[in-house]
Amino acid sequence: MSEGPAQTIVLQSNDNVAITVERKVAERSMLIKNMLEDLAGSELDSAIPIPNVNESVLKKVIEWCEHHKNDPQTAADDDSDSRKKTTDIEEWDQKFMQVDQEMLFEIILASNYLDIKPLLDVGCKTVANMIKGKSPEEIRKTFNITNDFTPEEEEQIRRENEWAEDR
Amino acid sequence: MATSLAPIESLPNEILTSILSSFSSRSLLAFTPTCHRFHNVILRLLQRRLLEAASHKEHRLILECYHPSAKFYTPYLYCDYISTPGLDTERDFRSANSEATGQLGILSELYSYFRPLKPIDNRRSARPHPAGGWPILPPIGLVDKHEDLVCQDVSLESHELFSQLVTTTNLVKLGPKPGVFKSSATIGEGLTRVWREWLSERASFPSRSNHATVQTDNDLLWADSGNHVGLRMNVVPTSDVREPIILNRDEDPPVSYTLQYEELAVRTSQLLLMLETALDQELNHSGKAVVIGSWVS
Repeated sequence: MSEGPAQTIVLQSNDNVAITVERKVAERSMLIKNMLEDLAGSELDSAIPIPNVNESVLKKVIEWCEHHKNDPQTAADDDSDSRKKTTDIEEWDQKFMQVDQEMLFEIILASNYLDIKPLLDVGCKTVANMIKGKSPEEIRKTFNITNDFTPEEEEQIRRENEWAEDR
Repeated sequence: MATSLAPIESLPNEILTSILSSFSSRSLLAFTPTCHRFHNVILRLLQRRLLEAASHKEHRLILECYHPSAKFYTPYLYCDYISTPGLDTERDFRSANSEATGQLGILSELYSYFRPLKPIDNRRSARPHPAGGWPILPPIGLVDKHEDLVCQDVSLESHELFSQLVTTTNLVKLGPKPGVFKSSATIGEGLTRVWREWLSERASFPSRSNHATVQTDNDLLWADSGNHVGLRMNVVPTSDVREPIILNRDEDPPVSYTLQYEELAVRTSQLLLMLETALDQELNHSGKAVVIGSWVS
């Protein structure tokens, strides 16, 4: 661990914008962290290209990493039973996720690509909360999904999904 | 064209799966008519959950099967998981993965098979009634007549056309002590009539206990109207029937059979839904325990 002034690195979005961030912040991304570890020793003077993420999304992701830079690293992943997980989201993250759907899904994709598990989780929970308690019609409306079932198929599925009808 | 694409379409299946995996299976089922993509992702999630539910390590299936008069004396039986035909093998999985509609219905028709185990901690043994005294043993109960299978005797007097069996199947999470469960969810409960005719018909079949699981369900004795739980039994005539002294021509002779519990079939979807009910109980009432006692209240 190097002491002294915070080390910075430069990330380059896919629309060619260079963004300088504190190394510790960028290391919330396991992709970048591992990359930096692989490069250990050699001087890092050029920007790291992030080919899948544009400037506005990258800035948003960095904003999240900035806020969470001192979070303890998540322990070994145990997703033994995700049904036990709650869909509670801490307040700051909730506000952070108040963006339009396009941005929300781009954040999710970026956090998946950059391997930032806690941000991916927050994103998934946010979407889950948008689905929660809704009927199929309401879900289609919320996400602008086209119903690609024929009326017969839909009718069949509505019969088949009654798993516990006679109890 | 490109502008009409819904943003959610941009998410790969793995991410959609992890979004949906926070929901209970009941909620997921309700989401299936949304679109093909939701349907298919949910179908796969449910397949995985069904398999996990059937072979769940922390939860055990217990069976209680008794004549109504023997309710408080018949021990409950732990059941060991055998298999779920249609889900167990990689091949089954792949063929079931086809994306056509109709798969949800097929999943709901799957059964998991269990073998009821002989009671280790026999509840009949030496436990005084809390109100004082000792329970009187009923005439019908479990008997130790087979090295592996749980056996129960059933006798019909000449005027009786059937005997009755109450079958209760619970999914429990084991607690710190025997008889104390952290949670319990009923999967099936019902009263079945064991008919004289059925007994004699079944008794004429050879014992199949050394065969592999047979996948026809028409020889199951269903314990409930929804066909959620069924028992496969061998029926063996017992030799110790007294010959009646007088028997009218229109009367049937008294008969006695031993029922050997071979397999318990449980609708896997029901098992999954009840497992989730149990998990829910554990989350909401952690600290409390369910005690299944044998005393009469």
